[in-house]
Amino acid sequence: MMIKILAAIVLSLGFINFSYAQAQIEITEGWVRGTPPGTTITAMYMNVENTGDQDDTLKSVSSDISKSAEIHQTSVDDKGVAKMEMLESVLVPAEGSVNFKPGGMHIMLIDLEESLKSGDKVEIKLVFEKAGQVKVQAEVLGVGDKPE
Amino acid sequence: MNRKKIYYALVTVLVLIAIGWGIILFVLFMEKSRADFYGNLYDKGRAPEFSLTDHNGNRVKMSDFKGKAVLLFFGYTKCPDICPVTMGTLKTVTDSLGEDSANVQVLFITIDPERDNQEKLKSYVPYFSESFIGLTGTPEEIDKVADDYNAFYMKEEVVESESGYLMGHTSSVYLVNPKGKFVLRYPQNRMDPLRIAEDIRNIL
Repeated sequence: MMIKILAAIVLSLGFINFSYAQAQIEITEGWVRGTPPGTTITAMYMNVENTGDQDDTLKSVSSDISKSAEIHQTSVDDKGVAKMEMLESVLVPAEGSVNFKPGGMHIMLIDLEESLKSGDKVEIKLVFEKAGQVKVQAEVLGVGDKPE
Repeated sequence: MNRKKIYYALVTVLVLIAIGWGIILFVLFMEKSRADFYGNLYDKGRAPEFSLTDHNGNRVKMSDFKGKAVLLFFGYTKCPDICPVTMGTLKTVTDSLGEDSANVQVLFITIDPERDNQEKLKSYVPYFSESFIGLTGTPEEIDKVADDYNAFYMKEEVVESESGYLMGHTSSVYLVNPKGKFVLRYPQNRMDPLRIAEDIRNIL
């Protein structure tokens, strides 16, 4: 009897784990651009990978180092004019990935408390529809530095 | 038909063939020299004169930089993405030029004169490189220089964004040769610093 109950518990745990794993988000290559003194705005970049078998959506972003954080997209038209738009959310397809990179999508950190120096670490919180909150430790890079 | 006529006909044909080949080779040569540049050819004559205030408060004219190659970029300090990316690229360009960088001047002209005063530029532009010069002016002065350089800019209120306002702006970098003439333009999809540096070596 005990064995049966234990087996049931183990099996149900396995089942819970399995269902939880359907949308799995992995963040790699997270970095933030360092800021000149007096500049209160910067951008964070990363690669968001969904290893699960269900689509997920990045719904909101926040950070302790800035008053607000938003998802933005830079686009350059055929005349060379660069513009930015704010995105409400970003879809991360099942078994797919979305790259936030310079000149494209980025997390815009607005009203920084203080300027960011190369080598600093900052924490960014991302909230996904299915995966919930995901915390990212992003390294601050200096001028002209590229992520490894 | 006598021999003389045949001789003249032959010479004419040979001359025509030579001219034909000459034209073909010339076109091929022109194509090649065009292709030799990484940047897009920007054959718009003399870079227009301007008078603006640099980040140290001095009045500066475009003609002050005669004798140097000038890389010119329009941007603003509150720009979180394209501007710092481009300034970082230009820093890599001048670094990779080594001693030649003494003959190159990077100019950053703000298209947000309302917020980018001299002090703002002083903390921003030298952060990328001590040799870079930031330029600002009255809104009228900036309007004129942007217009003269075919650069576009506009204020964008991003709905619900906390960023205040952002600017849409021409994001290409202009290369002016030491004689003060436009040569090339680099759109955002041509920002390989080493190849830009190579172009600059070719025009110095």
